[in-house]
Amino acid sequence: MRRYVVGRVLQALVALLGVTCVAFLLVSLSGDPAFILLTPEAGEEQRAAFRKLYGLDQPLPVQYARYVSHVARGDFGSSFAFNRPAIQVVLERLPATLLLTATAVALGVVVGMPAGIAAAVKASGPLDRLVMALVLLGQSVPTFWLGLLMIRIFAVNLRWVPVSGHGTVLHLVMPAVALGLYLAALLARLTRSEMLEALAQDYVRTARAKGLSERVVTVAHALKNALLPIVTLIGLQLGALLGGAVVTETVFAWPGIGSLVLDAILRKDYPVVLAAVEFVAAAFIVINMALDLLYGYLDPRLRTAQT
Amino acid sequence: MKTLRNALIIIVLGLIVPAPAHAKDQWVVAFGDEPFSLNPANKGAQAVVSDYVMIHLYDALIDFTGPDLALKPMLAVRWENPNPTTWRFTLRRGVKFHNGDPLTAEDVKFTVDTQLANKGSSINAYLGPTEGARVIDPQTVEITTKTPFPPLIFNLTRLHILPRAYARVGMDAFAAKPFGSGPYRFVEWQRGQRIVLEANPDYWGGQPTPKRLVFRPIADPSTRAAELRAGGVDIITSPPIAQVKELNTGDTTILTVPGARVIAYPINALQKPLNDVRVRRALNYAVDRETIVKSLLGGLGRATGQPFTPGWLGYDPEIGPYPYDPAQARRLLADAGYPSGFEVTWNISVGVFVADKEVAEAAAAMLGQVGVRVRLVPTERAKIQQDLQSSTFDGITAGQWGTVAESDIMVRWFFKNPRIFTPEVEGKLHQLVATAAGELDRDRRGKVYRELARFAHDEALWLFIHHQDELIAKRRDVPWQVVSSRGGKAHIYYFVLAPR
Amino acid sequence: MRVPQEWSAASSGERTERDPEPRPRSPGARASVRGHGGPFEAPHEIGLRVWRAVGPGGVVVAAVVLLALLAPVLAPHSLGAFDLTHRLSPPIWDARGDWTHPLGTDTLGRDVLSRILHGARTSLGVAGAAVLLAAALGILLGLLSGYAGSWADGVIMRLAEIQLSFPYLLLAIAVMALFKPSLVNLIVVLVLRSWVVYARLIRVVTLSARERDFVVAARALGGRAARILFRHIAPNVVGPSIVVSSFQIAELIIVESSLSFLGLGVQPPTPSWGGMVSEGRDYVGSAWWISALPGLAIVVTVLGANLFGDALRRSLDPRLRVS
Repeated sequence: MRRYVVGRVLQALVALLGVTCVAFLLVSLSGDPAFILLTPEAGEEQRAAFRKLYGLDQPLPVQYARYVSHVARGDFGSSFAFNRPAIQVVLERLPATLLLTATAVALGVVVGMPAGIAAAVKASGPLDRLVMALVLLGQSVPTFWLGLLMIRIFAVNLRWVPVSGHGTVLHLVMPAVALGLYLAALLARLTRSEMLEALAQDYVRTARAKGLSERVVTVAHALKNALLPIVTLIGLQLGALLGGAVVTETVFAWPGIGSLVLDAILRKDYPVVLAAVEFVAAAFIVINMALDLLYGYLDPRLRTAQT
Repeated sequence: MKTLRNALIIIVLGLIVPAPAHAKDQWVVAFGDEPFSLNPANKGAQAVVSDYVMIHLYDALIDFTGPDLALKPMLAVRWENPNPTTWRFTLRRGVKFHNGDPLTAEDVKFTVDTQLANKGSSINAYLGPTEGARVIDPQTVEITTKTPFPPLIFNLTRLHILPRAYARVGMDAFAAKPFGSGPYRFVEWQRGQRIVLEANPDYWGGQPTPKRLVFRPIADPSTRAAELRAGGVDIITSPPIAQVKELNTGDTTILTVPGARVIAYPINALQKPLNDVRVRRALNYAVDRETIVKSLLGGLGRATGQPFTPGWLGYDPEIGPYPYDPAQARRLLADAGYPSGFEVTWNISVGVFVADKEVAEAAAAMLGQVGVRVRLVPTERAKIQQDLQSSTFDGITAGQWGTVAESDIMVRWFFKNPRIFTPEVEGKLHQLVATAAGELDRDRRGKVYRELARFAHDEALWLFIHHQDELIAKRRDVPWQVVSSRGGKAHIYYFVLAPR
Repeated sequence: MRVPQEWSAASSGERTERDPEPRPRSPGARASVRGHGGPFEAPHEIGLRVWRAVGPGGVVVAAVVLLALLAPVLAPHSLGAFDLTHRLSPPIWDARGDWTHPLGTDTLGRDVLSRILHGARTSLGVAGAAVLLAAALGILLGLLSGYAGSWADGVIMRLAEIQLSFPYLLLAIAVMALFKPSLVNLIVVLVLRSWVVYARLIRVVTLSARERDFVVAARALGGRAARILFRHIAPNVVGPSIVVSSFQIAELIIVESSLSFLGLGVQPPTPSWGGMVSEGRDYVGSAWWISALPGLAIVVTVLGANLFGDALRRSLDPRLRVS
């Protein structure tokens, strides 16, 4: 077990280094920040001074080596735009991102899983058909479209909630719903198919044969066995959302990491882009590792396979 | 079950707290972006939008205002040129910074020195060949330049005067809680959410209204417009052109600043077949500007054929737009040896200027009707500027014209730095730019720029389209009007948001 | 990301050529014969089977593909046609609409119906090409990873991990900024998103197929790796791949439209559904049809592709054929 964890951590570090390298190459080659961060009034003289200030006049390999050695010491550099530590710029957006992610995932779980279970238990019944129709609809509507529609109806016409921004619970409603509906659809569909499979398994038959009530069969036996892929999906979505729901954040002016990264990319603020990419990648990898360990708990057979 | 439902209802009701009533003494302004920093001496980068907020926190020596765009005293009550390389300013008495320090000549010197040392910044470019500043007495300061630099006086309208205390406080601490001598004081900045300012009761120019100003970044124009209609904000910049009609009814209204920006596209006149002036003119004849302005911009602009907008130094009312004449365009193309047209690349911006994508698509389709097959390449803003300045674009590219008070910087940006002209054209352009730069007399400088404008029109150096009106939408009950202040025509936000 | 988990243990019930006795895992499940009917089936049963495999989703998908193919013939106006004096005219069911433009015109006075038809070509073409390429790449790497194991597996799975942990948008923007935005680059961006799904799924399928008796036997008999891969393992991969592809098409259409919304997708003046929705979003109050109709096209097509995927899975995956 210990060896497994150590190996997994090493692999994660390799992956992180890979991510850093790719990200560094991509951002460095995609354009000269001096042309976007300095307004057109600046001349070549000012742009040259700007490049020198941030070491952008050095050859790429030198820049990369310097960057990696700084990061290894916990220094993610200073944002070109804000002139503040890049990691601080990223982390101050974290609470908003976490809030939106957690709410959307919770919404997805609370709505999606019961819907999926209900659909599976009465497979091919009217409830199942309804759930599946909603699921398909939920997966087929682009988030930005849903967002614009919701703003129009609930914020401008009905004035139930504020259009955009961050602050009160009401601000959270629309972005969380826009994001959560998609997750709910995803989860409902997966839960249903996993439950269908689990319900067809021998041990469920045995449980039924033993005369256990249908509810106990469903929850205790089938659901427990269907949980593995569901947890995987939740974990992966959680990881993806930490990187920010860019579209949702843009539509609702939600101050999360996604819109920050989009802006940073467009304005070539490389230290912020890199810090955000590394943070998100690290979070993703950690979640993945946690999932692997969780599998061992959920399915003892996998535990032996891993060691 | 019933108790559960009641509990739920109570919770839900508890969540729906009514938003605080919209206090009339607070106005919320939504921009598309957020400032990078509110420190005018921020190292390196400074977003254009930063200035829109900073003019409320800081004062400049001189204001640039009125329909005639005249210079007006601000922190300096008088100024003169003892000689062509020296500017002497007499400062206003009794001006205090927000921390209570008096504003003296030392602060002006400190600001000039700091920005001169801040080499990798845009504001540094405004100072041009400035050598330094000298304190004559607490109320008098002199700024000297290495060579005569007439645009300096206009550029100084962009120089926010910093307190000397900046050095004591330190850059980071100052950026976290900036203070100047302006009409508003800094209260708080929640990144990505809002910047809050409050009125400075001791302002030398009188008590500003409203009491509080809140700036919010909302990137999506549709969301900005929706927020305005829903009453969440009071003023928005650049509303979607599609919603102008909607926004001009009910509680909201549209303000326009006519002809603030030139929409025109520089042509790489070194590349075949664009090196032929007949071809460049043919492009200009093929576009129906009037229809574009009337339909796509809803009339909020004017067809143009020159690089300057009305009010700018160099604008010549005699120069009209190229008329829409597809037959003439075809004739010119045939004369140039391209009777069946040719293929050309056109880099465009998307979502930077009002309806920029639609205008380019329409113009490209019109060019297609005379045989010029246009390949539209939507290009990132940074790349557009980089390609223009390093002359590495193919065919036609997007420009950006109209962000400064003086024509000097922009003329260099478009006609001196890019090496995209044939030798004769380039020789003439460089000569005109140099002549204007050394001309102290504003009228005579204007004459040189007019000559340049005529030349650019005749040589069809750009694909000219229109002057674009800048748009602002606001709640009807917000009494602000279009009042020009600080920095010149294109700085739309100066017009409206200056509370003076 | 969405589907492989559902398939992670799916292959064990699959039938292969060297495995003549289908072994359904539950008595309720019928044997799967991967797409073609058995010798004793009556014609109407074959029809039923095909209908089951295709379903209403398949009909929708086929119809959309047909419309896309025939767009140049069906579209009432040519792609370049525009008329600034007749912009924003409403669709036919509006009192002000007329038959010249059955679905109205857009901001430039272009015919919305024509653009939706041509947009089908772009959206389906881009998503389809991306899915094909991603499937080819992903399946190849997945087979390699699952069958060869050891270091190949390690490298490919690390690559997948890097890919997954990388903010997708950054990748999309960087590719679009590095190389000029074009359909080819858009497809590359979509493939980058999609190949991992196939690679991870196929790896799992291969892993479990590898341990099956007949494969173990073939290996023990000294069969060549390539032969084993293609004769014994590859057939197991076909079913899941087809199903995943239909879901991926749906997903990539949405991704393409979201990229277009952010200005990173299909570039003007080429029509694409996502681009049209995004172009028209400012007009929802005054000319809703510009964005609503292409939006509807997206929903219907994605719905169809998703339904098709479900139907395919039901017919290809014996586990779910609980009758």
